[in-house]
Amino acid sequence: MAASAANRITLVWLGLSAITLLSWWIGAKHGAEVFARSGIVTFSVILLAAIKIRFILREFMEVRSGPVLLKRLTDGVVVVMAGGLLAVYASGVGIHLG
Amino acid sequence: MSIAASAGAMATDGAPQQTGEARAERFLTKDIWVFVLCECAIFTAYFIVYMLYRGGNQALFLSSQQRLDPRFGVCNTLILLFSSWLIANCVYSARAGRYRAAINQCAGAMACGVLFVGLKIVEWWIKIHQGLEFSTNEFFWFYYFLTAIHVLHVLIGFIFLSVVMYQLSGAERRSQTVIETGAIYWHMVDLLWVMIFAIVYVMR
Repeated sequence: MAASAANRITLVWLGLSAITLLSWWIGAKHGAEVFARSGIVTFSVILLAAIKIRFILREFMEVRSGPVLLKRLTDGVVVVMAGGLLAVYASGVGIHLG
Repeated sequence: MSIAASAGAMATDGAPQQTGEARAERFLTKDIWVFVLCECAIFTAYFIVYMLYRGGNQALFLSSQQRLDPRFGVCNTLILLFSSWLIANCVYSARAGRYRAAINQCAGAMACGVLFVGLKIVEWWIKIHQGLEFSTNEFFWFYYFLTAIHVLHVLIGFIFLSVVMYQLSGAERRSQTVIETGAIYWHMVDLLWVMIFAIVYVMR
């Protein structure tokens, strides 16, 4: 039981590290010389970050074995955080000083 | 039983008679999750404000972002993920009664935290010597603010992990709830960095 749980979080850790390198690759591949706005890169990177955060919550923080309310609240955090960022980005709304 | 599972068990526990220790454990279990959710809400607000400022001056943010070295961001993310893995294993070791292994894993997680802060200071030092300071432009306001407030959380995490080490080192004072509370705080520090890495270093 303990061994399988440890193996499971090791797999999760390896997966999260691989996603981190994938995010870096996506960013590095796009606009090596001059950075330009890219909805595809931004959407991909924020979505990958949201997936990583959910795995950290579910597996490392063991929300997976927690009550339904905690699962819903933590899923809500992920959706509001990533969804809010993507909504602001997609809407083009901005604050400009000066 | 994990602290997440015990949060649920305690939520439905209607036992009228509880010892002082049980009450304290219940308080700690619920409170760490309230704290984590509040911290996530506060950081979400920071991130949204960052995105609004970014939307107002995309060219400036993109050109400033290009002045960062993403290798620092990647290394720091991998370091924190490794430290999260160590502290998760520390919890499993403590549950299994393997306290020596748990202490080593907790010490490893703290060492990763020290490495994270060290790399962050080197990164800041390089940027400042390149003339990229807090007052340079709006992007660098957010870069220094978000990374510094996160480092502050890492430093607070050292206090949590020190308590975990103290608890693990003495048979008479071991509390699995306290150990798991410290671990949850440390995972939260990792979780927040994941989004900072995405929006400050990688997005376009």
